[in-house]
This record gives sequence, structure tokens and C-alpha cells, in this order.
Amino acid sequence: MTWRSVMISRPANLRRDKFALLIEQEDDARVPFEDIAVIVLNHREITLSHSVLSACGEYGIGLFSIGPTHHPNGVFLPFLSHSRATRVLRLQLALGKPAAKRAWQTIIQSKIQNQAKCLERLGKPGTERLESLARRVRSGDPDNLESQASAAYFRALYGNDFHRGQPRWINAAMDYGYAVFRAAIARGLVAHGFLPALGLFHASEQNAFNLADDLIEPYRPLVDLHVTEHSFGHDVDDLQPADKVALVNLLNVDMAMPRGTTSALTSIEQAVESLARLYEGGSAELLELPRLIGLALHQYEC
Amino acid sequence: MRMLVFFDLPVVTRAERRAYTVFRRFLLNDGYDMIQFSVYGRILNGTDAETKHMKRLVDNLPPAGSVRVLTVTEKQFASMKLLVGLPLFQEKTVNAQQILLF
Repeated sequence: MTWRSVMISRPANLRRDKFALLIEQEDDARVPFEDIAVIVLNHREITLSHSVLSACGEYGIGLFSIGPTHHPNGVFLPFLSHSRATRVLRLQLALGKPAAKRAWQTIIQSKIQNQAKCLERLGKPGTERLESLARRVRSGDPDNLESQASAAYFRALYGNDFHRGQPRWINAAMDYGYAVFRAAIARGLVAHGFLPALGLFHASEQNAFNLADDLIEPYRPLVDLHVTEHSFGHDVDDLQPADKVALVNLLNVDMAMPRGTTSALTSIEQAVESLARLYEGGSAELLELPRLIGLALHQYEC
Repeated sequence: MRMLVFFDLPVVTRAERRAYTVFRRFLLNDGYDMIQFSVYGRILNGTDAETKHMKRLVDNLPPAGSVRVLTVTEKQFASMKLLVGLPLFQEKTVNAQQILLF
């Protein structure tokens, strides 16, 4: 069972030491590959060998690279690691329009409900309006209630003069958080044999992660909630290392799932499994999507 | 929680030394860290992991000697007092946190 995220923010040399990742800095440390879900390479001076990449493929670890802007810009994923990859691919291609539209409806409802929950947690107005919008989403969201809800939601969160394109701390933090979740979801999809390029709703030819962009929607309000709670008192617009750590750590925040409360990382696994059941011919009601409950970190039994 | 493995193995004959090396290598490869000589510990995430690693341990036991295992909660492990000596770097960094920073 994978449960660890490893984030490397200082110069380091990564090597494979049998079944463990060896991190060479002033002092060396070993982390068993078996326990790792994601590795974030958050510094320019990190070197790693082919055997580390190969181990990431072998153990299904998502490895993120960081671009010059210090945002995750790439993810290394296992190649057709699932034993039935071709079968899942055929199911993906064969999914009918009606089923895809109903799944998108469920996802958007869940997203808007989480947005409402986010506003409620922050004591902002507009919760009832969003909940009413969530109830009115129809199959395939033909009325585009998603964008109506988002417009109202971002206005309620950050005021009328806020745009997602502005170079502000809030936007940088949201972009970073979304990128982390997108890559974690892509990792879950690949582990279950999905080709992430084939989406339910998103269908861009230039996007290799259409399906991840579908499934990320209910998770976005979790990032928003964290970003809003931490959005005060930044003299610079850039993210600081501690901000990035906190954003990656959102993968360990508790979310409510139909089968009980679990960390966001585990909830992604469950959501992807439920998606697999949908492709197997199940209905959209079977989709298990997370409900936002707050920012409490998941506690493993100890 | 943590699984702690304590062992005393005979190292007189060549075959015994070999069995000792194989067992110790198994522990390291299965993610155990050396806490002291002959005392190894592994972090576990829940009872499923305990079952899994316990089975692997039982499958890789040496033929002779003495091996003991004790599973304690993270809280109990953290309450261990170091009377002489300091904690290792590995112990301090690779802890029960879900996110590890380097």
C-alpha cells in the first residue's frame, strides 16, 4: 500500500539501493519504493539515474518534474502497467455518449457541492445558490452550470475584480495545487489501466490528460479552501517553499467518500476504481466522488 | 505503527554466517532500518501492512537462532527514551509523516 509523498527541495542525488530510494544529501536517507506514491523533484539541482526512473515505473510511482516557474510541468508515469490495459482501452473507446454525459453530470454536481461546502466553511455567502445550481445540473451539463457556479464562487471567494489570469499569489498557489492533484489523478488512472488522454467531457487533441482533467473537478475546491485560508499576508506573489509543501500535503487531507472518510490520495484511488466500474457497464450512480469536509490531515492509526 | 525485529543468530560456521547475511539483507530490502545492531524496525501503515510484512518475515526466517518481533504503535515507539547516544538521521527524517521533505 503506497502512502508516502516524497518532496525534494534541496540539491540531491537520487539512486536506487535495491528496493529503496536512496536520497544522497549531506546525510543519506532510504525510503522503500513500496511505500511511495509520488515523488516531487522540487529543485533544479537534483540528479537521478535510469534505475530510479525504472523503479518508479515498476512500483507505479508518479514522479513530477518542476519547470523554470517552479510549477509541476511534467509527470513520469508507468507505461501500460495494468495487466488488462488493452481491455480497459477498448472499454474507454466504446463508452457511449449517454453514459459519459451522465458521468459528467455527477462529477459537476459533486464539484459544485464541494464549492458550496468551501464557501460555507469560509463563512462566505452564496452557499444556497450553488447548492441549487448543483441540483439543476442535467445530463452532460448542457446549460453549462459549471461555469455559472464557478463565476459566482470565485467572486464570493476573492471579490469582483479577481481573474484567474492575474499574476497573484492566489493564482500561483491554485495552479500549483491543481497541478499536483492532476498528476496524482493521472497516476491513479494509469495504475488502473486507463489511457488518460481519452476523457469523458474534456476532448482536447492537445491534452494528454483529458480524463484526469475530468476527474480533478471535485478536488479543486479543496485546493481553493486551503489557498483562501492562507491567502493573507504575502508581500511577494511567488510561492515560497513552505507554501508548496503545504499544497502537496493536501493529498493527505481527509475527504468524505461513500465508503468512509479517507485521505485525498486514497480517495483518488477509490474514485478511479469506481470510474473503472462505470466503463465496465455500470451507471453514473456508482461513481464514488469525494465530499469536502475541511482541511484536517488524515490520521493513520497509531 | 512499527514492527520491531530483534535477533540473535549464530555465526560460527560458514553456513550460519550465510543464513545471518541473507536474513539481514532481507530485512533491509523489505524496508527495515537498523535501529541498533540486531534490532531492526519498519514503519507500517495499518494492519493490512502488518499482515503483509509479517508473512514476508515468517517466510524469510533463518533456520536457527532467536528472532523476536514486536509491533508497537507510533506513539509507543516515539515514547522510547534514548538514555545514551543520539537518534540516527534516517530515524529523524523518514518518520511516520505522510509527506517526507528532503
